[in-house]
Amino acid sequence: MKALKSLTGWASGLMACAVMLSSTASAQNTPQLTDPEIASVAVTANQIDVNYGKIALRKTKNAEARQFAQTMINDHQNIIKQAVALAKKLGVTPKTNAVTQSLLKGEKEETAKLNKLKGEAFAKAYIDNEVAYHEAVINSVKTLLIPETQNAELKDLLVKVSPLLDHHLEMAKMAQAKIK
Amino acid sequence: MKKRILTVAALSILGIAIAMISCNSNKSNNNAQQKSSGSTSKVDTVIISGMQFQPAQLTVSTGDTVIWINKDIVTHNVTDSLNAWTSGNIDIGNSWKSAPQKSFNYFCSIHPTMKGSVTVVNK
Ligand SMILES: [Cu+2]
Repeated sequence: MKALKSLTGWASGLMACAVMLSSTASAQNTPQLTDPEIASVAVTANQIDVNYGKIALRKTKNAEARQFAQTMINDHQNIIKQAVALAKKLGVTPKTNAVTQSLLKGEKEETAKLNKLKGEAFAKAYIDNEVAYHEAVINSVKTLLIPETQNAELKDLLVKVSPLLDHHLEMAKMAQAKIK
Repeated sequence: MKKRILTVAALSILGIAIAMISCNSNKSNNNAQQKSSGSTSKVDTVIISGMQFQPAQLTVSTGDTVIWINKDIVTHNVTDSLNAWTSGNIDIGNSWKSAPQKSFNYFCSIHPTMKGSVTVVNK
Protein backbone atom coordinates (compact mmCIF):
# COMPACT_ATOMS: atom_id res chain seq x y z
CA MET A 1 0.00 0.00 0.00
CA LYS A 2 2.83 2.29 0.95
CA ALA A 3 4.60 1.32 -2.23
CA LEU A 4 1.49 1.98 -4.27
CA LYS A 5 1.21 5.37 -2.67
CA SER A 6 4.78 6.28 -3.54
CA LEU A 7 4.29 5.07 -7.10
CA THR A 8 1.13 7.09 -7.50
CA GLY A 9 2.93 10.00 -5.92
CA TRP A 10 5.72 9.66 -8.40
CA ALA A 11 3.42 9.27 -11.40
CA SER A 12 1.35 12.29 -10.44
CA GLY A 13 4.56 14.16 -9.65
CA LEU A 14 5.74 13.50 -13.18
CA MET A 15 2.42 14.66 -14.57
CA ALA A 16 2.36 17.73 -12.35
CA CYS A 17 5.86 18.49 -13.54
CA ALA A 18 4.73 18.02 -17.14
CA VAL A 19 1.68 20.21 -16.68
CA MET A 20 3.72 22.87 -14.90
CA LEU A 21 6.33 22.87 -17.64
CA SER A 22 3.82 23.05 -20.45
CA SER A 23 1.78 25.82 -18.84
CA THR A 24 4.92 27.86 -18.20
CA ALA A 25 5.87 27.20 -21.79
CA SER A 26 2.62 28.55 -23.16
CA ALA A 27 2.73 31.50 -20.77
CA GLN A 28 6.15 32.54 -21.98
CA ASN A 29 5.59 31.19 -25.44
CA THR A 30 9.03 29.57 -25.34
CA PRO A 31 9.71 25.85 -24.98
CA GLN A 32 10.88 24.76 -21.57
CA LEU A 33 12.53 21.64 -22.93
CA THR A 34 15.01 21.88 -25.76
CA ASP A 35 15.27 19.11 -28.35
CA PRO A 36 18.43 17.68 -26.71
CA GLU A 37 16.49 17.55 -23.43
CA ILE A 38 13.50 15.92 -25.10
CA ALA A 39 15.81 13.34 -26.69
CA SER A 40 17.18 12.60 -23.21
CA VAL A 41 13.67 12.18 -21.75
CA ALA A 42 12.63 9.92 -24.64
CA VAL A 43 15.67 7.65 -24.42
CA THR A 44 15.48 7.49 -20.60
CA ALA A 45 11.76 6.71 -20.54
CA ASN A 46 12.29 3.83 -22.99
CA GLN A 47 15.38 2.55 -21.19
CA ILE A 48 13.54 2.45 -17.86
CA ASP A 49 10.86 0.18 -19.30
CA VAL A 50 13.56 -2.08 -20.79
CA ASN A 51 15.13 -2.27 -17.32
CA TYR A 52 11.80 -3.17 -15.67
CA GLY A 53 11.33 -5.87 -18.29
CA LYS A 54 14.77 -7.31 -17.53
CA ILE A 55 13.94 -7.43 -13.81
CA ALA A 56 10.72 -9.28 -14.69
CA LEU A 57 12.52 -11.87 -16.83
CA ARG A 58 14.97 -12.44 -14.00
CA LYS A 59 12.37 -12.70 -11.25
CA THR A 60 9.13 -14.18 -12.52
CA LYS A 61 7.99 -17.48 -14.00
CA ASN A 62 4.53 -16.11 -14.72
CA ALA A 63 4.09 -16.69 -18.47
CA GLU A 64 1.84 -13.67 -18.98
CA ALA A 65 4.29 -11.31 -17.27
CA ARG A 66 7.28 -12.83 -19.08
CA GLN A 67 5.73 -12.48 -22.52
CA PHE A 68 4.73 -8.90 -21.85
CA ALA A 69 8.21 -8.11 -20.46
CA GLN A 70 9.92 -9.55 -23.55
CA THR A 71 7.74 -7.43 -25.85
CA MET A 72 8.54 -4.32 -23.77
CA ILE A 73 12.27 -5.05 -24.00
CA ASN A 74 12.18 -5.62 -27.78
CA ASP A 75 9.91 -2.69 -28.62
CA HIS A 76 11.51 -0.12 -26.35
CA GLN A 77 15.01 -1.15 -27.43
CA ASN A 78 13.89 -0.71 -31.02
CA ILE A 79 12.66 2.81 -30.24
CA ILE A 80 15.89 3.70 -28.45
CA LYS A 81 17.89 2.53 -31.44
CA GLN A 82 15.86 4.78 -33.74
CA ALA A 83 15.92 7.74 -31.34
CA VAL A 84 19.70 7.48 -30.92
CA ALA A 85 20.22 7.12 -34.68
CA LEU A 86 18.00 10.14 -35.35
CA ALA A 87 19.70 12.25 -32.67
CA LYS A 88 23.07 11.37 -34.17
CA LYS A 89 21.87 12.23 -37.66
CA LEU A 90 20.52 15.58 -36.45
CA GLY A 91 23.64 16.29 -34.41
CA VAL A 92 21.58 16.40 -31.21
CA THR A 93 23.30 15.24 -28.02
CA PRO A 94 20.74 14.15 -25.39
CA LYS A 95 20.94 16.47 -22.40
CA THR A 96 19.77 15.55 -18.92
CA ASN A 97 17.13 17.75 -17.26
CA ALA A 98 14.50 17.87 -14.50
CA VAL A 99 12.10 15.48 -16.27
CA THR A 100 14.86 12.92 -16.95
CA GLN A 101 15.95 13.16 -13.32
CA SER A 102 12.41 12.67 -12.05
CA LEU A 103 12.05 9.59 -14.28
CA LEU A 104 15.29 8.14 -12.92
CA LYS A 105 14.24 8.84 -9.34
CA GLY A 106 10.96 7.01 -9.97
CA GLU A 107 12.84 4.09 -11.49
CA LYS A 108 15.13 3.83 -8.48
CA GLU A 109 12.19 3.69 -6.07
CA GLU A 110 10.21 1.22 -8.17
CA THR A 111 13.23 -1.03 -8.69
CA ALA A 112 13.88 -1.16 -4.94
CA LYS A 113 10.25 -2.11 -4.41
CA LEU A 114 10.22 -4.79 -7.14
CA ASN A 115 13.48 -6.30 -5.92
CA LYS A 116 11.91 -7.01 -2.53
CA LEU A 117 8.98 -8.96 -3.98
CA LYS A 118 8.71 -12.59 -5.07
CA GLY A 119 6.38 -14.94 -6.89
CA GLU A 120 2.88 -13.79 -7.77
CA ALA A 121 3.27 -10.65 -5.65
CA PHE A 122 6.15 -9.64 -7.90
CA ALA A 123 4.27 -10.41 -11.13
CA LYS A 124 1.33 -8.35 -9.95
CA ALA A 125 3.49 -5.41 -8.83
CA TYR A 126 5.41 -5.51 -12.12
CA ILE A 127 2.30 -5.41 -14.27
CA ASP A 128 0.56 -2.81 -12.06
CA ASN A 129 3.59 -0.58 -12.47
CA GLU A 130 3.60 -1.15 -16.25
CA VAL A 131 0.01 0.13 -16.41
CA ALA A 132 0.84 3.18 -14.27
CA TYR A 133 4.13 3.82 -16.03
CA HIS A 134 2.67 3.68 -19.53
CA GLU A 135 -0.17 5.97 -18.45
CA ALA A 136 2.32 8.51 -17.09
CA VAL A 137 4.61 8.30 -20.13
CA ILE A 138 1.70 8.58 -22.61
CA ASN A 139 0.58 11.70 -20.78
CA SER A 140 4.06 13.24 -20.93
CA VAL A 141 4.58 12.36 -24.59
CA LYS A 142 1.24 13.84 -25.63
CA THR A 143 1.10 16.92 -23.44
CA LEU A 144 4.77 17.81 -23.07
CA LEU A 145 7.19 16.15 -25.47
CA ILE A 146 5.29 16.32 -28.76
CA PRO A 147 4.08 19.94 -28.32
CA GLU A 148 7.54 21.16 -27.31
CA THR A 149 9.68 19.38 -29.88
CA GLN A 150 11.11 21.77 -32.46
CA ASN A 151 12.70 19.41 -34.97
CA ALA A 152 10.14 17.91 -37.34
CA GLU A 153 11.79 14.47 -37.56
CA LEU A 154 12.12 14.15 -33.79
CA LYS A 155 8.49 15.22 -33.41
CA ASP A 156 7.49 12.70 -36.07
CA LEU A 157 9.20 9.87 -34.19
CA LEU A 158 7.37 10.83 -30.98
CA VAL A 159 4.07 10.98 -32.87
CA LYS A 160 4.76 7.47 -34.22
CA VAL A 161 5.61 6.19 -30.75
CA SER A 162 2.22 7.31 -29.37
CA PRO A 163 0.05 4.49 -30.81
CA LEU A 164 2.69 1.95 -29.72
CA LEU A 165 2.48 3.24 -26.14
CA ASP A 166 -1.33 3.13 -26.31
CA HIS A 167 -1.17 -0.52 -27.39
CA HIS A 168 1.35 -1.33 -24.67
CA LEU A 169 -1.04 0.16 -22.13
CA GLU A 170 -3.91 -1.96 -23.49
CA MET A 171 -1.69 -5.05 -23.39
CA ALA A 172 -0.59 -4.23 -19.83
CA LYS A 173 -4.23 -3.93 -18.77
CA MET A 174 -5.06 -7.26 -20.42
CA ALA A 175 -2.16 -8.94 -18.62
CA GLN A 176 -3.16 -7.21 -15.39
CA ALA A 177 -6.64 -8.73 -15.63
CA LYS A 178 -5.07 -12.20 -15.88
CA ILE A 179 -2.52 -11.76 -13.07
CA LYS A 180 -4.26 -11.66 -9.73
CA MET B 1 23.28 22.14 -40.54
CA LYS B 2 19.93 23.10 -42.00
CA LYS B 3 21.25 22.41 -45.47
CA ARG B 4 22.37 18.95 -44.39
CA ILE B 5 18.92 18.16 -42.99
CA LEU B 6 17.39 19.29 -46.26
CA THR B 7 19.80 17.12 -48.23
CA VAL B 8 18.97 14.14 -46.04
CA ALA B 9 15.27 14.81 -46.44
CA ALA B 10 15.64 15.15 -50.19
CA LEU B 11 17.64 11.92 -50.37
CA SER B 12 15.11 10.01 -48.31
CA ILE B 13 12.26 11.29 -50.47
CA LEU B 14 14.25 10.21 -53.49
CA GLY B 15 14.80 6.83 -51.81
CA ILE B 16 11.09 6.43 -51.23
CA ALA B 17 10.37 7.39 -54.83
CA ILE B 18 12.87 4.81 -56.09
CA ALA B 19 11.44 2.19 -53.75
CA MET B 20 7.95 2.98 -55.03
CA ILE B 21 9.03 2.78 -58.63
CA SER B 22 10.83 -0.54 -58.13
CA CYS B 23 7.91 -1.85 -56.11
CA ASN B 24 5.50 -0.90 -58.87
CA SER B 25 7.67 -2.43 -61.52
CA ASN B 26 7.82 -5.66 -59.50
CA LYS B 27 4.10 -5.57 -59.28
CA SER B 28 3.59 -5.08 -62.99
CA ASN B 29 6.17 -7.77 -63.76
CA ASN B 30 4.24 -10.10 -61.54
CA ASN B 31 1.01 -9.18 -63.18
CA ALA B 32 2.55 -9.58 -66.60
CA GLN B 33 3.87 -13.00 -65.70
CA GLN B 34 0.60 -14.09 -64.26
CA LYS B 35 -1.32 -12.68 -67.19
CA SER B 36 0.85 -14.55 -69.67
CA SER B 37 -0.05 -17.77 -67.86
CA GLY B 38 -3.70 -16.97 -68.45
CA SER B 39 -4.54 -15.69 -64.96
CA THR B 40 -5.59 -12.24 -63.75
CA SER B 41 -4.06 -12.63 -60.30
CA LYS B 42 -2.85 -9.53 -58.59
CA VAL B 43 -0.87 -8.45 -55.56
CA ASP B 44 -2.71 -6.82 -52.67
CA THR B 45 -0.76 -4.82 -50.12
CA VAL B 46 -1.34 -4.41 -46.40
CA ILE B 47 0.80 -1.69 -44.84
CA ILE B 48 1.67 -2.14 -41.17
CA SER B 49 1.97 1.33 -39.71
CA GLY B 50 0.96 3.16 -36.54
CA MET B 51 0.18 -0.19 -34.87
CA GLN B 52 -2.45 -0.98 -37.50
CA PHE B 53 -2.89 -3.25 -40.47
CA GLN B 54 -3.99 -0.96 -43.32
CA PRO B 55 -6.46 -1.92 -44.62
CA ALA B 56 -7.52 -4.02 -41.64
CA GLN B 57 -10.21 -5.70 -43.75
CA LEU B 58 -9.08 -6.83 -47.15
CA THR B 59 -11.02 -8.73 -49.81
CA VAL B 60 -9.04 -10.61 -52.47
CA SER B 61 -9.76 -13.14 -55.21
CA THR B 62 -8.53 -16.72 -55.11
CA GLY B 63 -5.00 -16.87 -56.49
CA ASP B 64 -4.11 -13.34 -55.43
CA THR B 65 -1.01 -12.68 -53.39
CA VAL B 66 -1.16 -10.56 -50.27
CA ILE B 67 1.96 -8.78 -49.11
CA TRP B 68 2.30 -7.25 -45.63
CA ILE B 69 4.91 -4.49 -45.47
CA ASN B 70 6.15 -3.34 -42.07
CA LYS B 71 6.52 0.44 -42.20
CA ASP B 72 6.15 0.78 -38.45
CA ILE B 73 8.79 1.49 -35.82
CA VAL B 74 8.80 -1.99 -34.21
CA THR B 75 8.77 -5.66 -35.28
CA HIS B 76 5.35 -7.21 -35.98
CA ASN B 77 3.96 -10.49 -37.31
CA VAL B 78 0.88 -11.85 -39.05
CA THR B 79 -0.61 -14.77 -37.13
CA ASP B 80 -3.77 -16.75 -37.82
CA SER B 81 -6.38 -15.98 -35.16
CA LEU B 82 -6.66 -19.72 -34.47
CA ASN B 83 -2.86 -19.96 -34.30
CA ALA B 84 -2.79 -22.32 -37.30
CA TRP B 85 0.18 -20.47 -38.81
CA THR B 86 2.36 -17.38 -38.39
CA SER B 87 4.55 -15.25 -40.64
CA GLY B 88 7.23 -15.14 -37.97
CA ASN B 89 8.87 -11.80 -37.19
CA ILE B 90 8.51 -9.11 -39.85
CA ASP B 91 11.23 -6.62 -38.93
CA ILE B 92 11.06 -2.90 -39.70
CA GLY B 93 11.23 -2.40 -43.46
CA ASN B 94 10.65 -6.09 -44.23
CA SER B 95 7.63 -7.77 -45.75
CA TRP B 96 5.87 -11.13 -45.89
CA LYS B 97 3.79 -12.68 -48.69
CA SER B 98 1.02 -15.23 -48.78
CA ALA B 99 -1.42 -16.51 -51.40
CA PRO B 100 -4.43 -17.37 -49.25
CA GLN B 101 -6.79 -20.10 -50.41
CA LYS B 102 -9.50 -19.27 -47.88
CA SER B 103 -10.65 -16.39 -45.67
CA PHE B 104 -9.08 -15.87 -42.28
CA ASN B 105 -8.84 -13.50 -39.33
CA TYR B 106 -5.39 -12.64 -38.07
CA PHE B 107 -3.57 -10.65 -35.44
CA CYS B 108 -0.04 -9.72 -34.39
CA SER B 109 0.92 -12.16 -31.64
CA ILE B 110 3.49 -9.66 -30.33
CA HIS B 111 0.78 -6.98 -30.03
CA PRO B 112 -2.50 -8.90 -29.74
CA THR B 113 -4.51 -5.68 -29.94
CA MET B 114 -3.57 -5.45 -33.66
CA LYS B 115 -6.11 -7.32 -35.77
CA GLY B 116 -7.09 -7.82 -39.38
CA SER B 117 -8.92 -10.09 -41.80
CA VAL B 118 -8.58 -11.33 -45.34
CA THR B 119 -11.70 -12.41 -47.19
CA VAL B 120 -11.06 -14.62 -50.20
CA VAL B 121 -13.77 -14.67 -52.86
CA ASN B 122 -13.95 -16.91 -55.89
CA LYS B 123 -13.42 -15.18 -59.20
CU1 LIG C 1 2.83 -6.16 -33.66
